[in-house]
Amino acid sequence: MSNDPHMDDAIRQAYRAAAQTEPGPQLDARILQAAHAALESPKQTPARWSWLVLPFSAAAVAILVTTLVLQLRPTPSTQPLESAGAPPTSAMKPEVAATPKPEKKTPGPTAPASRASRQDQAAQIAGAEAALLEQRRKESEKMAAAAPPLPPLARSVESAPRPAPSPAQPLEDADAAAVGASAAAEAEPRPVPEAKLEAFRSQAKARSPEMPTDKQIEDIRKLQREGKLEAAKKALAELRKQFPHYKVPEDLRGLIEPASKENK
Amino acid sequence: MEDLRPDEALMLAYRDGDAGAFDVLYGRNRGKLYRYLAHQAASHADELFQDVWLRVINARAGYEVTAKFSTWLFRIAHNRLMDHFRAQGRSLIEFAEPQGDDDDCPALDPPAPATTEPDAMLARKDLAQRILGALDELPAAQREAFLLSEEGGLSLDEIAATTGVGKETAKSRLRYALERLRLSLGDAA
Repeated sequence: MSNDPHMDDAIRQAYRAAAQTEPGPQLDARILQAAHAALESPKQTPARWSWLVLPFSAAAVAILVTTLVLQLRPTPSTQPLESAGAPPTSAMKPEVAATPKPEKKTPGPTAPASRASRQDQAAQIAGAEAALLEQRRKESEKMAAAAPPLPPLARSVESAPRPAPSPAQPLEDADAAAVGASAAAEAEPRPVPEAKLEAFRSQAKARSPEMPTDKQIEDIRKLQREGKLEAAKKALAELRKQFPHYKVPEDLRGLIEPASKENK
Repeated sequence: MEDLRPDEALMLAYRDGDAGAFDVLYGRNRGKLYRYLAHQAASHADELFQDVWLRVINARAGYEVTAKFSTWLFRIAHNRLMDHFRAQGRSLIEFAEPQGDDDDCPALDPPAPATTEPDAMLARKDLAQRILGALDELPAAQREAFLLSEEGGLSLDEIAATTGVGKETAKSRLRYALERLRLSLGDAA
């Protein structure tokens, strides 16, 4: 490295001979102990528990999701109340019509003749309900055809399902037991005692007159607003024929023909 | 039985959990590292020595063989030494890369007149004292270059990389260090 390589070697040798300094044994012991301890500690902590992290996380997430789903799911008691205000759908009709069936399965001590008469009554009620519904549907269609086309928003509202007066409305007036029975029947069909059903129907018919739909009323209001008074009067008259017990709202009473005002 | 594995293999073995590999590695390098530190910061040599080895221990998980183990070890030691000097308030300019001229060593003074002893032979002890005294008298950068070469076995490139200077600067520092040591020894060497 310097000018004389032999001299450099001599210097290096002299240095190596002179430099004998070394760390003390205590210092050696401390460092070796630290080196060994470092190898032992990390093996214990992460390796033992790390494999549990993923399963525990997955289980926690599953429990959380399940809890949320159960919390957000509609309870069975609310569903029948909603359906009580809805028109009798095809899903409900068989229920009503099928109610006599359980009686066949569980014959009571009554005579066969009385049982046949009850079945006839039930069939008559179901037939009357079906005929009424059909008639109402035709009326609604007729009124919708007579009314001017609705704006897009109104159309979308029209297409949306809405509650309507129906023979199912008496369910609102039914006692809690009947509602509970209805709810249970939705989840799992159960036979309803014929006597109770009969009492329920008669009570419902007496207490709750049949009502036009909101849409029918609203259509008449719309005709009135648009100045189509003749059409509105005609529609209201048809409505009153269809629902003689219906109390006409204040804003529509002007459309009632003088001859029939006493019926309002 | 002596372990013939190179230092790098020993460090990898230690990384993988072989405590015995560290014992061998430590035994091979303890004296060199200690002297490197002791000749530059004598009063804090123990503290610095322990810190450097603890850094080695803590860095084992990420250790990969990218250079000689001694290069890696002495780079850690150099950095720790610089931290120490900085904490002591000592200027690091003398260790820095010189500006403009890679030959950062001042002109050598003319050699002191050699003490001619009648026997013309210095005792071994006297020689040791003189060369160690001359080493202490060296500028810090030259002394470090000499120690990295002598104790660490580092090449010029490795010295340059470890100290963060160019190769020519490292070469210059080492050349002047040897020259000064030779002159200090005079005829005795």
